[in-house]
Amino acid sequence: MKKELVYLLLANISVLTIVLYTTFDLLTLAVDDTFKDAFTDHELNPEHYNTNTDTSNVNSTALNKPQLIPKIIHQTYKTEEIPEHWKEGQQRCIDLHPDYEYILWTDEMALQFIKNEYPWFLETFKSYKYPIERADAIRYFVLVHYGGVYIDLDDGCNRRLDPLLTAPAFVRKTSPTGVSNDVMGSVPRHPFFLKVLNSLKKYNRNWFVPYITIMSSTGPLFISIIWKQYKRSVNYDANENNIVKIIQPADYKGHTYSFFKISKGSSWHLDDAVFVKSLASHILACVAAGFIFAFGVLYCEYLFYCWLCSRSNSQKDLENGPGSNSGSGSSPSSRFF
Amino acid sequence: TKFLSHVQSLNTNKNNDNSTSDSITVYLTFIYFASWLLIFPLSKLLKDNSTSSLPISNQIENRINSENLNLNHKQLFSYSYFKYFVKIFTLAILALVTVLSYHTALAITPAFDVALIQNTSKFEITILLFGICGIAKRKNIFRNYVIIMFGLLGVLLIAYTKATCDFLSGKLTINQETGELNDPFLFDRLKGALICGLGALTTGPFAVLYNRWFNTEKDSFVKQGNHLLLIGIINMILLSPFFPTVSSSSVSLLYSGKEFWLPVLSSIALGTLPHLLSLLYLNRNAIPEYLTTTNLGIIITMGLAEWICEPTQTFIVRWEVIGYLLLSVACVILSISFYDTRHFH
Repeated sequence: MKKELVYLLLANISVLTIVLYTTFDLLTLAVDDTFKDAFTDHELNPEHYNTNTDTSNVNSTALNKPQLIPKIIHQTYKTEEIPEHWKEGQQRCIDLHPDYEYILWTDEMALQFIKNEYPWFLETFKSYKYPIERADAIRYFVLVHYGGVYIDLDDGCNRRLDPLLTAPAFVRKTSPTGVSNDVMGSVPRHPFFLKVLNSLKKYNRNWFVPYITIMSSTGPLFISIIWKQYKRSVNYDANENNIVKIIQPADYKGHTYSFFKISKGSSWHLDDAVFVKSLASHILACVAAGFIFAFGVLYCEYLFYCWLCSRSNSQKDLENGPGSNSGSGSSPSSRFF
Repeated sequence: TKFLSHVQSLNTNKNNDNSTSDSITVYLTFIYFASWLLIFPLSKLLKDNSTSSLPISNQIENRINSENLNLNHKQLFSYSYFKYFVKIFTLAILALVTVLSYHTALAITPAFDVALIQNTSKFEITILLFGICGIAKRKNIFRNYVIIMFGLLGVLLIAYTKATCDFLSGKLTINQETGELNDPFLFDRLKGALICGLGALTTGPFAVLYNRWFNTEKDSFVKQGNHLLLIGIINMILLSPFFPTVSSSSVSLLYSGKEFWLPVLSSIALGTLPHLLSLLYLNRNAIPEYLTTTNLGIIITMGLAEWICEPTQTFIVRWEVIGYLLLSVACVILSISFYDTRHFH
């Protein structure tokens, strides 16, 4: 095998290995295993089983689980003046849970909280380029510190959250894969959310595209990656209290038994988010573009290799003498082009 | 592809679960490889126009082989049979991956998407590997690269405008509240496109190895038909453990009607067999890279098929026409550039 080809192959293998290593966590998201830790129907709707005579498949321990998560609802907004179209959802959450403590974290409260309780994170917190990153980060801190349930303002409550409090921690499944950070619950200092906290600094990177920067530094992509890493860790199955339960889509919204009712959100989206969303409208073109780009790069490498070969052949011809190329009828470079 | 997509959509319409869909995928793949059994008798109708040096007669060849190798006659036979079996098995696995991914994607993605992505992927990987492995001629490669990229730009335009055409024809809608596309099957389409595109990549090694092992001067059409027959049989054996049980009521209901068998047999008679025979003919009589232009032709034909089969649901927009024009022109230029009679040395 020619040495140029060997070098090219080695370079390609090295690049591929580096890409696979750096994107390994992203690639694990391709395997959707959220159903393994999903809330079951008897956990979310125990009243159906308590009144039903046929409970042979469900034991009473499963039906009468204690509530672990504190009865606190956290929501965040930049000020206390929340937009009109979110007020109804907010009020519904308060009205359905009169026995819960309700806290609306404003930007000022969040900054003071981090300053007082987590000063090691203050510099990172202030360095976030986009306000939504701070709004994402504060929710993880309050859950670690106080425990409770965090709900986005565009997620209005549809029914009481009590069945969700029986889990030590929960997040919700998002589409197409992974989990989202718009609805989360936790006992104080749950190991998953401690890991999230400790990972925020490492994942604080600027990817130049705002949408990707936000999603991967503090948003749903970030928490999905941490969740996958957490599940792979040795602690996950060791203790029942380490588990993170997953709310499935049907229990999240869209049905009478769902916990939430959604109003228009995505207020943090900038112009690039519109572009990213438009890619979803042209998914076939995105896949085709990926294949064409990969082919373009690889074929360019092949062209480069052929050019190197044609150059080394013409150098050999020069070394061998003027008569050595006469039989071919054309120079290597003209054959190349 | 249209017929097979119609068969897969029957399963979706009957609201059958994923296991039934997987069963139908395996079943259709099995039937596809069963059709390869017909290649052997049909290959006798093909004419070999390739040029070669004077053929060595079988007797002389055997004498040379047995004189050159100081091995026991039985050992020689069993070793050569083992080597042949390994080659056939390797090609069988490569073909199985492509066909299985194709049928899996058809279950979850529209036929046009599958045809576009699969043929783009096949075209790219075969032309790339033919070049790298020294099967294709290294002549005017930069010029050909420019033409190929123009053709692929046409493919990209077609893929991009497909969404606009689907929206205009009412296949997709916009959510009034969010202003975003309302496509409940968005991620199925992504999954299907990735599965068939990545699965089609094994066509490249299949084409390279087939040309190296079974497309030499002594391999006539009948011999090649025999190789394909064996590949078909091996894949049928490999699929048989996953073969769906006919006793399953929902699956057998689907199988028994003409709405299943008519499209499947039409797809074999009008699609699979002519396609395979033409590939066999072209691969033998023309240089290998000429064959890759058929993939571009399939994309164009699929667009025409969509227009013919769904005339009321097909909208044509300007950029789509430009895309098809670019692709057609690139396909014609490449065909002219690559066309040459095969010479075996």
